[in-house]
Amino acid sequence: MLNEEKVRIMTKLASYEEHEGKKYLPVSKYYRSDYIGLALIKNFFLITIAYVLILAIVAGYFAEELMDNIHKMNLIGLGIGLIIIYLILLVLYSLLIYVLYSVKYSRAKKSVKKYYVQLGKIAQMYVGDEAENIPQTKSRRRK
Amino acid sequence: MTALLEMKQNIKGFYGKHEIYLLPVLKFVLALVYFMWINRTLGFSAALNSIFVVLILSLLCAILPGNGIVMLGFVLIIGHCYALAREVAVFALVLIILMLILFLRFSPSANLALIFTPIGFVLNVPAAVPLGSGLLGGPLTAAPAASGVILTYFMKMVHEQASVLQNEDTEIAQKLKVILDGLMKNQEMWITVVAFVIVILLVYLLRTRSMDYAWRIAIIVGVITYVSIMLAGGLFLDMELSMVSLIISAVVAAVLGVIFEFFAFGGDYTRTENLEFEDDDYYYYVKAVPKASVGTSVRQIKKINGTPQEELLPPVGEKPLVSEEPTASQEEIDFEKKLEESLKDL
Repeated sequence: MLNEEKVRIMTKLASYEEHEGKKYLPVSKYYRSDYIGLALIKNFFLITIAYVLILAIVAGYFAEELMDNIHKMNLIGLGIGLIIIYLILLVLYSLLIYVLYSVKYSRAKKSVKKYYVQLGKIAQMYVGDEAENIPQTKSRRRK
Repeated sequence: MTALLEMKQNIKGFYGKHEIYLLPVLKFVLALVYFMWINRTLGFSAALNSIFVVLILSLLCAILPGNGIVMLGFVLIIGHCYALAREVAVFALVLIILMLILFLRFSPSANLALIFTPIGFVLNVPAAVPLGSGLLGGPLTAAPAASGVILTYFMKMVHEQASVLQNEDTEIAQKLKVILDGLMKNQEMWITVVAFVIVILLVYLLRTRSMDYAWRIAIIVGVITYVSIMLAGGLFLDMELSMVSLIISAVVAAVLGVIFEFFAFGGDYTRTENLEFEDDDYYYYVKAVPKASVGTSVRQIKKINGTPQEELLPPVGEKPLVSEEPTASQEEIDFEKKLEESLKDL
């Protein structure tokens, strides 16, 4: 016999998985610290790449002056300056990522909570069904 | 107004009914316009200029998610730059990677603003882009819109400097200098970026307030801010600005803003209700703004034993009735019973 309640809940679940869940379900599989940590590591690599690219462009732009004046320049000072700029950029972006991903994570958790409640109901229904079916199957085997 | 509301509801109904077909068509048209603009501005590669290539790419965009248009647009831009000179293509690639890393990755769902920016420039209503982004999107839309401005000016600059950049005798460092000077020293571009970002944030901030006519206020303040920033730029910086075209474009943008408001919001502030109540934990001060809606005038015909047809039009201000034309035989069917029977068969 078709269980209407089960169909109703499963339709709701499928609809969630298709729309909102697509965005939030993958997020909810992580611990908060893992999710934000991974995002920060990814951000570190991306920012490093971006900074190297920016440096390459700037170096290309000032190539002539660099070539002419490289023996006169304070290279250590320049290096420290570049590292400080890099660190500032990295810290700013890490903060931004931290805030954005924290918000995203808490939003995902909230959204997914309802989904898991419904999923729990379905699981309970299955447990109920099995409990009803077990004696029948046993009796069939005896025959 | 009633006729307009009716039209809005009809359009919404039509879109809701045929969304599955309409969305790809709209994406296709948007991609086609965008790609044709890229070809018209750059257009250095004969192969990419072919209308068949553009059509195939646009068709692809119709089935890809929204960001597909953005990505294919990037490929097209780099392709054209490669046909001009290898160094320009490398620079374009670096510029796009930087944009993706620094701005665009935060707003994957809002990157369509990047496509609308050049279209806004072509139609001579750039102010409509930040206004529309602020009204329909969130604050993160500022990132793709600003990137769109930079990309648009970059392409314009490449178009203008094509002869220098194409010349094989020019050194690589020289070409880089031409491109970077063209971008970094372009004050018009920077002032436009600033105007876009400020207007988007301001419009978003104002339209999400709970004050009366928040959307209207946001539109007006947004347009005035845009014009003021551009005028200040025209006065203090080195840029050419046509006062008349700026004001005309601002007025057109405001009209477009009102149209966006009409379709996206539609609150009726004359019937606002201010409620006050409390429960065990909180006091509530609630402001409820009803949505302006009108019954669609599709006629509902009831036949009662062959008496003349009666037209029932729902009164203005009510939610639309489900409008169909049920026949007498249809009304008699007990759907619940039918459903139960069919479920039994399963």
